[in-house]
Amino acid sequence: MSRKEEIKKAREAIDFALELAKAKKIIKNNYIEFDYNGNKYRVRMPTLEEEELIEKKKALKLNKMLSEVDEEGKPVYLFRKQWNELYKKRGIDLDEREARIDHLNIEIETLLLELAKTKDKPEIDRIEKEIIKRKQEIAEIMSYIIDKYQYCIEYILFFFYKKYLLFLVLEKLENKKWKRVYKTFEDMLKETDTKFIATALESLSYLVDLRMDNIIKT
Amino acid sequence: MKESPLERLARSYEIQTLYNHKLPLFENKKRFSYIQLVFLNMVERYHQLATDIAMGEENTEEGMEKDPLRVEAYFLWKSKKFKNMVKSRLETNNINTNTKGEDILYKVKFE
Repeated sequence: MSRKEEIKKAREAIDFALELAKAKKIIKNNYIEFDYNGNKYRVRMPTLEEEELIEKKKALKLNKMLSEVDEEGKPVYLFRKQWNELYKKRGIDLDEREARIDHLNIEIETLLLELAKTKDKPEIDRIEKEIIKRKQEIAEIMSYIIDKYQYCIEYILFFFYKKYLLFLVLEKLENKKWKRVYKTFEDMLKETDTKFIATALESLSYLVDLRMDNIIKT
Repeated sequence: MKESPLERLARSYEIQTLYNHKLPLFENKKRFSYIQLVFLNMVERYHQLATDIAMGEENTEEGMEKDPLRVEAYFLWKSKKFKNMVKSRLETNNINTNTKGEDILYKVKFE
């Protein structure tokens, strides 16, 4: 092994050890602490009361979106199905793309069953490459579909839920006590440090299932 | 396929020992987070796989636990095999199996 390869291998081992330490940290408890600009923050699981509050806020937000109309009296916000029909009229068939995902998933299942039965290394590598190729195609289609639905009511409501949840469970350590970072939800929306919000949201995604695919599959 | 740090942790000697002895894996005892539930599922899978490898079950071999795709493939194959086995047993016992998961008819003979 050359010196370069040795260094590369050592670096990979260190990176993996760091990732392992991070994994240990995120599963340790039902809250996740992180440092940002020399301060200590955490995101925690919402209480049952907070969950109830989020549902109420979501209902209010939905109500507001449903009642909003433009100058011509047309609704400003549309549901996913309505967007789907509009796209169809413009020649973009999103159902076709969803059907492609289903087809790829069936192919993946067939390949997995093939993989389960083999112990031949080159054959394992070949099948795995085929599976990964299909998984990548699914990810690309998903990202395309999510992008197309980004203005639908379901998406906006989910995004609102994510942000409101973050507002409730994001805390800062001050004088040995955990205190909510923002006094109001509006204060959080005014936050200019987007990197901080992204860091907090990443931690939150370990506590609560925030995958976008869930919206598409409903 | 390379395993993720979470998968590596789930099959580690430390975690598997705690799990085998029913010792707590987390500091909290209730209200588990999403990642904790995903992790618990992984730990159970690796525990099951280690047992199957030790028993020399069909389609298992030492080292396969390091490849997440092979692990996924094995459990998919195993669940299909189990479903087929249950179906054929019900059929040989003359029990009407309804694939749609609706009502199942049992033939009961009153004497």
